Amino acid sequence: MLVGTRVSPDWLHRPDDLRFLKQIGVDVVDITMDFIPGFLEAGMRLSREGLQQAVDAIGEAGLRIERINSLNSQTIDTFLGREGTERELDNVAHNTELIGEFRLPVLGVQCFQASQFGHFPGPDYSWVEGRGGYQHLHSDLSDALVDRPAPEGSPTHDELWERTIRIFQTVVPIAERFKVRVAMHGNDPPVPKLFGISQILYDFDCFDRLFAAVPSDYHGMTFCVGTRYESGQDVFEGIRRFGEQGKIFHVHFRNVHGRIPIDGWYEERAPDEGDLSMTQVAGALQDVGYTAAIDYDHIMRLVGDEQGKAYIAFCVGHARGILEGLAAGETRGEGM
Amino acid sequence: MPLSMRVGLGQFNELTDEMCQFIKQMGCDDFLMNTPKLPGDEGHWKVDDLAALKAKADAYDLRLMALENVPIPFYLDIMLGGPEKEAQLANMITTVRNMGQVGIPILGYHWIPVGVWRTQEPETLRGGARGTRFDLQAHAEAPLNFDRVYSEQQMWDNYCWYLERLLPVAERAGVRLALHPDDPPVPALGGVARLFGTFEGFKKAMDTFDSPNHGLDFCMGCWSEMGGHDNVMRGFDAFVPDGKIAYIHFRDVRGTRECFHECFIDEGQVDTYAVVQRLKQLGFDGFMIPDHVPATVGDSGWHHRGRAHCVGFMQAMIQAVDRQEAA
Repeated sequence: MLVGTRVSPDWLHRPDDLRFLKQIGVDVVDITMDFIPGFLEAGMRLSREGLQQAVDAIGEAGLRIERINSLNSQTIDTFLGREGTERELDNVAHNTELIGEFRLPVLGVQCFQASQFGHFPGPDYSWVEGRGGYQHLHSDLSDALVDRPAPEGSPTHDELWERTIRIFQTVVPIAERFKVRVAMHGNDPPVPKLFGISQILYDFDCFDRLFAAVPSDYHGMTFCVGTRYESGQDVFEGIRRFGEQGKIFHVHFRNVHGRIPIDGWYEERAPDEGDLSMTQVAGALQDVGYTAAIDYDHIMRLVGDEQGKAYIAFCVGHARGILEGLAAGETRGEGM
Repeated sequence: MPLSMRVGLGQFNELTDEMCQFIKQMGCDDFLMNTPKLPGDEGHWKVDDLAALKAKADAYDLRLMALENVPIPFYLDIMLGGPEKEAQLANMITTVRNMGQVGIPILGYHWIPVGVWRTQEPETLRGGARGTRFDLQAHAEAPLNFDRVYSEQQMWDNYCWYLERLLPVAERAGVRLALHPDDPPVPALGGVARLFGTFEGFKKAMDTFDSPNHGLDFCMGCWSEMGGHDNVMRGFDAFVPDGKIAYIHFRDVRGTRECFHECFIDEGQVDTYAVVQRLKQLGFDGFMIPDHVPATVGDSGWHHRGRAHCVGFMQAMIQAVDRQEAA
C-alpha cells in the first residue's frame, strides 16, 4: 500500500510544500481538477498543457498523481436536470480522455450531495475541542434528519439515479479504453435524505446498484472509511464485500467517533483516537489484496499549526507505522 | 492502572502553554525537558523553579518524567577531575535532592565533557530533507578541547568518584540517574576518552553502580551507530529484563560509529517493528520519545512537524505490536 495525501490547487505553486510531503514519506498525491491550470477558466475543461504542468510540478517533488478528483460543481446542471447538462457531459467526456492520455491511475467522480441544492439552514458541522484542545469536526445531524417534505425543485430519488447513471455511462467506457479506474465517492454525510433532499449513494447496496448499472472492471470506488463508519454499516464487511469484487481503487483513511443511526452525530478524529483501530482497517485492506493509496483525508487543527503540516506529518507517520507493522507481520508469517 | 510502553515528547527547554497543549494533542501524557532554562547561576537548580515546572505539567495533566542533562558547567570539573569538583558535587547533590522533593523522577546524564559532535554539511535525505552526519576522518586533526588528554582510566576514575557520591543521594531522594551514550560512540574526541560507546561500557557502569536508582537513557540512535539493529536488540535483551532502561530515545541512523548520518525513523537500519515487539515481550513499561529528527522544509526550530511524524509512527508501531500480541 502507498501513503497518499490530497493537495489543494494552490500547492501547484508551492514546490517547497510538495517537497515537504516527499520528505515525510508521502508516496502519491490526490488532486482536484481545479489544480490544473486553466481548468476553471475554460469552463471546467482540462487542457493538455495544464495537465502537463501539474504532472511536472508534482513529479519534480518526487511524487506522482494517484487520483484526480472531479468537483461537485462540474455536473451540477446534470444532477438538477437543468440546461447545461449536455455541455457538462461533453466536458466530462473530454476530461476523461485527457486523463486517460496522461495515464493517471484513478479518476474520482462525485455523486450528488444534498448540500449542493443549496437550501441548508447552515453547516451541519462545527469545530470542537478534543485532547489538549486540538480542534476537530463535530457533525450533529439531528435537525437535518428530521423527516420533512422535499424542498420545491430538489431532484427526486429516481431522477438522481437516472442522472447519476448517465454521468457514469459517459465516463466509464472512455476510462476503460485508457485503463483509468473510475472511483465513485459516496455521500458525505452518508444518509438518504438531508433536510428532505434526497441522496442516493449512502450505503453498500447503493454502491452495488451503481456498479450493476454501469458494469466494468474500471468502475469502482473510493472506499471512504470515515463515511462508511458514520453510516453505521460494518467497515470490515464493506472492505471484504467490495475488496473481493476488486472495486476498491482508493481509500480515505479517516477515523471517526460516533455513528449517525445510533448517535445522530459523529466526530472526525485524529487517526489514533477514533472508534476504529486503523491498524485493523489496514489489515483488512491488506487481506483483500489492496495495494493502492491510503489517504488520511481531512485535516484537524493543532496548536500553532496554521498550515496543518504538523497534523499531516503526524498522520503520515502514523500511516507509515501501520504499513511497516503490517509488512513486518506478513514477512514473519504472522498475519495481522 | 499500571502504565505500559508509551510515547512521550521531549528535548525542549522551555515549558510553554503551547508546548503542553501540543504534547497532549499528540496523544501523549509523558514528557521530559532537556537542559531546562532555569536560573542556575549558583550551579544548581532550586526547588521553587523545579516546582514551577512540575506544577505546570500537573495543570495540564502531564507527567514530567525526566530532566535530561544539567548544563555541562554544572559538573565539568567532576568529569575532568578539576579543582571545582567538590563544590560542583555539592551543587549536584542539591539539584538531585530538589528534584526528589518536587517529584521529578529521572535525571538523564552523560559523560561527554566535549559534547555531541557532528560533521558539516548535513546529509541530504529524501525530498531534500537534512539529517546530521558524522565522519570520524574529518575530525582526525581536531585540536584538544581542554588543556590535555584525558585517558579512559582517568575518565572512569572520575566517573566512579561521582557515582559513588551522587548515587546514594539519588537513592534517598527517590531520583533515578539515567546514563546517555556518548554520541558519537567513538573511543575519544577532542583528546577526551569516551567510556559509554560500547556494550561493555554500559555493562560496566550498570554492574559497578547497581541500583534501582541507576539506569540507561537508551538512545536507540547511538546504539544503532554502535552496531545497527543487532546491537540495539542486544542492548534491550541485556537491560530491559533487569529494569535498567529508564527511557528510550527513538531515533535511527544509517552507517557505523565512524561514519553515519541521521535519518527519518522509517528509513533507518533498525527494524523498528521487531524492536517494539521485543520491548513488549521483555516487559518494557516505560516511555520513549522522538529525539533528533531530520530537518524538513519550513519546520520550527524544535521540529514540530518532524516530531509529529515520529510520534505518529511510534503510536502506530505500538498499536501494531499490541494487535499482533493480542491475536
